[in-house]
Amino acid sequence: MPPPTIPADNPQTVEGIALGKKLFFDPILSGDGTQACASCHKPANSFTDDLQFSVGIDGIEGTRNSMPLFNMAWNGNEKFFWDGRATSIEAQALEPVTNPIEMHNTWENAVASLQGHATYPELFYKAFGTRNITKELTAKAIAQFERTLISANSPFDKYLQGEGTLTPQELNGFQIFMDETRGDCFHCHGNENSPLWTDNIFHNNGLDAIITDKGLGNVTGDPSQDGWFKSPSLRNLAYTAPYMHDGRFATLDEVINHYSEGLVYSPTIDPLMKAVSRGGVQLSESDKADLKAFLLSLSDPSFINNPDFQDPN
Amino acid sequence: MKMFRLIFGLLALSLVTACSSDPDPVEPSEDYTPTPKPLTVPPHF
Repeated sequence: MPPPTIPADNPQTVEGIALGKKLFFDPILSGDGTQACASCHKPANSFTDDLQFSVGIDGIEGTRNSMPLFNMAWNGNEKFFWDGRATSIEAQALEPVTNPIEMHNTWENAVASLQGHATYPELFYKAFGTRNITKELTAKAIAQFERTLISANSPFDKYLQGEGTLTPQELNGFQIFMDETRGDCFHCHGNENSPLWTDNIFHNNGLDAIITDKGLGNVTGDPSQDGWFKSPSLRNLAYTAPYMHDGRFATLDEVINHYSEGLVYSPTIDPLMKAVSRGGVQLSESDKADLKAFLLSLSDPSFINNPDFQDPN
Repeated sequence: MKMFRLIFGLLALSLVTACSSDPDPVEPSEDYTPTPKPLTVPPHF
C-alpha cells in the first residue's frame, strides 16, 4: 500500500481535525441552517445514508447515491465523487455547500455565518493561525477530519492479521471472489493485499444498454468513458445500502444477481465485464450465499461506532 | 520646555508601543503552530 496522501499545504493537526469534525456535523454551512455534511453522510451508515438519493434543503432529490466516506487518504488517483470531478478531498468538500440540490448556499454566506459565530473564529485561529475564515480553510478542516475516517478492523482484517477466524462459508466466498471463472470480482475490488477493496478507478459495469448518466465521460468529454463510475469499496456494505452510483439495488442480493445474471452490454462496457455475452458470471445459489457472507465480513462495526467519529455538537 | 518635550515624547513612545503590541485579530500569527497529528496507519495498510 502506498502511504496516505496528505497535501503539503494541509497537514493533519489536532486543532484542524477537531474543527473539521465540528464543521462536518454542523448545519451552519447550508443555506437555511438545516443540513450538515453528516445529514447525508451518517456515521451509522459508514458515512452515507440509507436513501437511494439524498434530499437537499429544498426537498429536491439528487441523482446519485450518497457515497460512503472512509479510507479517503488512500484514494490514490485523487479523484473524488462517483464521476471523479474533484481532484482532492479539499476540492470535494467545497462543492455540496453551493450545490442547488444539496446545501444550496453561497460560500460568501457560509463564511459570513462562520465569521459571525461565537466560537468558530477562535477555532479557525487554533487550527490555522488566523481568525480570517475562508472557504478554502473551511474545506481544509473538513478534509483533515475526513482523512481520519479510517476503517480497518472488519472480521476479514482481523483474519488477515491472525487475530480472528472466518467461517468456512466466508472463506469459500473469498475464493469465489478471487476466482476468474466464478465471481471474478478482484480486478476492480482488490484482494487480501489491497485492503481498500476498490481500485479507486472508473468502470462501466454493465448496468444499462443506453447510458443516461455519462459519469466520468461527462467530466472528461471523452465519449469512450460514458457510463464509467468509480468502483466503490466493498468495505462496510452491511451499512451502506442501497448500492451502485444511482442506488438502484436495495440489497446486496440484488447486486450479486446483477453480476451473476444481469449484465447488459453497451459500447463503453469495461472489458473486465467479460461475462456480459452470457449475461453474467452465472453463480450458483450456494456460491451467491457464500460470496455474500464474505462481502459482509468486510464490514467494520468498530468504524461506525468509533466515538471519535460521532457528532460533537 | 525641555521637560514638556520629554514628557510628550515618552507619552508618544508608550502609545506607539501599546498599539504595536496588540495582535491583529484577523492576520495569521507567525508564532502560532497547531499540534501535528499524523494519521495512524493500520498495520496491514
